[in-house]
Amino acid sequence: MLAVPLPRPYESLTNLIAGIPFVYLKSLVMSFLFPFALAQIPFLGDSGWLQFVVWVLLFLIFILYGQRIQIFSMLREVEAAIRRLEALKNEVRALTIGAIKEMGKPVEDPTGKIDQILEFFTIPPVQLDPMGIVRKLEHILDVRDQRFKDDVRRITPGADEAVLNNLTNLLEAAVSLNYVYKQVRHFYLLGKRTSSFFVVLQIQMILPQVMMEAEAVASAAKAFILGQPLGDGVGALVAAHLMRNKTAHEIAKDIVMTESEFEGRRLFVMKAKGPGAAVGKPSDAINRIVEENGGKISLIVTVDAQVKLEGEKTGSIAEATGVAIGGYGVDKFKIEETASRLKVPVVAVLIKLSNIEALTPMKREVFEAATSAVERIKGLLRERTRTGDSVIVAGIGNTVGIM
Amino acid sequence: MAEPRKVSPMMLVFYIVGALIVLLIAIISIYAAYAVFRSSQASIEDAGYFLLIATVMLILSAYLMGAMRRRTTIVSVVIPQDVLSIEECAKCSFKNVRAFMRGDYVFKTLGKCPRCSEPMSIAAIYREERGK
Repeated sequence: MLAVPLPRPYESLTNLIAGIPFVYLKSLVMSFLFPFALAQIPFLGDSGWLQFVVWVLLFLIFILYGQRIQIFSMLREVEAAIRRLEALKNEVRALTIGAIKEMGKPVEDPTGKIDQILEFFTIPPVQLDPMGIVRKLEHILDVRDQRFKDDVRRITPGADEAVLNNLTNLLEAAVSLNYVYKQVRHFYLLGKRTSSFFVVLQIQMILPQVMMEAEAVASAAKAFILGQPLGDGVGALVAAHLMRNKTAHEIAKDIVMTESEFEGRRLFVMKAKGPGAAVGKPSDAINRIVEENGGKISLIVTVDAQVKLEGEKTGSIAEATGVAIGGYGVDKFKIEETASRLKVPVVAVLIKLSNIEALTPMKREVFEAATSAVERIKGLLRERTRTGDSVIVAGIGNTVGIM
Repeated sequence: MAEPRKVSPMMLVFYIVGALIVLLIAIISIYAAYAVFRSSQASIEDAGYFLLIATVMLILSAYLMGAMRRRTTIVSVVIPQDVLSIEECAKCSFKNVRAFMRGDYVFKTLGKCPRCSEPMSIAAIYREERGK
């Protein structure tokens, strides 16, 4: 018989168990906590061999099946995420169908068409030769936006322009959720089929981020239906404050502009056309104003929401040099190109909020930050420009729920 | 939309039974520690081991109960939002705070002010965090 020396705690526990009442109950406690203590319970007598066998078995299980156990645990985590994603996707789909039926007054049931649109995706331009890729990307995105709008218009003949924009954004949210769900499911099933640790690891590592994004998109869906201002619209709100009680006209696709005077400076303020959901093409509007003024623009100010870092306060305001516009980068590229060619200084005023806050109805702190941002812009104009200068202020972001 | 997420009954039973078993083990361990301490072969060290086990089990039991509570309080798809529209008269600053209604938008012109009969507008739309 093998005599394996026991670590001190278990040796003393063996003696202990023999000396106290309810011995079997206590043995059970020991065996539950320490499988190798099983060998020490009194009725098994001197059974060091059993302890050895248990140790060797445990060792072999963890050596041979350790990674499988890990994969199993990771797959369980991804599986829970998939269930949640599926619930989000289904709920947003149902919301979309309901909203289109209610607001769009379709002549026939739009469910089939909506399901068809949900499978729609965009193929990005080839990147082998990056020369001119931004123009190509812009074209593809324009075609995609037009396609979406046409499809929604076809199934919602009763919707006005604002409702049409809201429904288009809602459908885009549903499409993106459907895509995320399918991507996560793909990696899950592939990992399960191949039992590959690294396939599962890829999706498991980015899962928290993916889930946060998905929750945010799902939250935006209801705001689009009701037409509530989103946190992302704070840039447009700042511009709306500056444009209030002035006559606005459309200067580029879905972009409106007012021309006014601020302490002797000529002020061009622009934002997406509200109150329907729209972001427009601010780069076209900015470039047009710059060109029309022969490049004699003293400052371009972009105002936008910025995803805060953990620990930063929601609604805090920061200034930056450069162009603040999110998305695919087409607008950013075009403004940077014009500004650098004509040597126009570009600054940004940013209002901090979280990812979720950007896609949910605007929080009070963010709304109040817009008023502070207006004052910040005025201060910026006083410091950085002189009387007689021309300045562009562009409020960037989705203008849903904002005039 | 705003309904709390439903937890499967199996999961709930698993948490409750798990927490109770662990709690039972903790109680037994405390008793064992006491018994060892009082026995003729009293050993402070052995009693200490039982107390250690009891502490670990109590922590595990508290964790399981906490996990069960967290699981039942996670909310569904869209977090319930209390979105407010603030109507304001530009002349007399009369304010009316009400729940958001479909069709509202920031700077929308509304009817006449009940105080001074000037046109009112929506000055703000924002959401209040629940519980604030």
